[in-house]
Amino acid sequence: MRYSRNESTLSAEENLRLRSFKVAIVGCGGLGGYLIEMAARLGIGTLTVIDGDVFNLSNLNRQLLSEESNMGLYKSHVAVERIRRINSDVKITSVPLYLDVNNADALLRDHDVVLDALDALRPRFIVQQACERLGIPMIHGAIAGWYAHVATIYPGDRLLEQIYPQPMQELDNPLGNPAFTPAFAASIQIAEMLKVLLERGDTLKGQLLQVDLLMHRYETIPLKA
Amino acid sequence: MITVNGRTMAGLEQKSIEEVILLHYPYAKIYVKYNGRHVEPEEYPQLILAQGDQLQVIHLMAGG
Repeated sequence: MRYSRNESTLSAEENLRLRSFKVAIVGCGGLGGYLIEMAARLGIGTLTVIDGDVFNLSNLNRQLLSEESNMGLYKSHVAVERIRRINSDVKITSVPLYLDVNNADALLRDHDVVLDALDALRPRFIVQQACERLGIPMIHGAIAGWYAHVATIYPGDRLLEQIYPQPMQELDNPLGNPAFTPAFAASIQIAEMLKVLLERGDTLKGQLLQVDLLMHRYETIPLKA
Repeated sequence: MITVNGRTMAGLEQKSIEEVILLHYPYAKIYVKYNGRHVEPEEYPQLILAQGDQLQVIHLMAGG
């Protein structure tokens, strides 16, 4: 009954298969909050949620997991509490740490897909490198103001080097992020995750979906993989 | 025809990269490749698009 409204979109067999998958979500903020929520409601069997940050007031405009009552609490711990209330079948593990070169392989090993919900470039490249070593597809998403992009990166494709100029430099974000942009980008990332896991449909492998929500411009840019 | 972000677009011959960007890519920070070569902002006005050229314009963002 819990998944009956998913069953016209996914077959009964596919719905069952989702329970066998293990997905890591790196970052539990704007993108991450929506990703965790949707993955749990879809019935992904095992989730690992990774973030060393705590909630503060500036998160309340967009981060689904943030509430006035949980300021100062670890985002990953809050995610676990919420998901346990939504879907107790999901095995969810909180990792209240920042992912870095020293812990990336250990944190991401044995997952079927990694969802990139980070807010800085350096750790995104660390995730891409770890996913390549571990043979795990990575769904990259990033946002700024009215703008978003998503790419599905298979091991060896190294699309981040195509998306960001090298040598990599961190980017500031003077546009900020309103509530709808992370919700939009996370939805695309979750659809990509499902297609990768279930081997269905067309994915953004080797491509970047670039979206301008202000002017309604949606481009799928082929990248050299 | 000119290919912009993988899509062929008519009417861009003889336009500079700067004109295309002003028209279609108002986003403040962009990463531009012209026929596969990364080009810097100071080159945008001088580079005039011709038949068969390929332009890639990627919005630079890292928010999450």
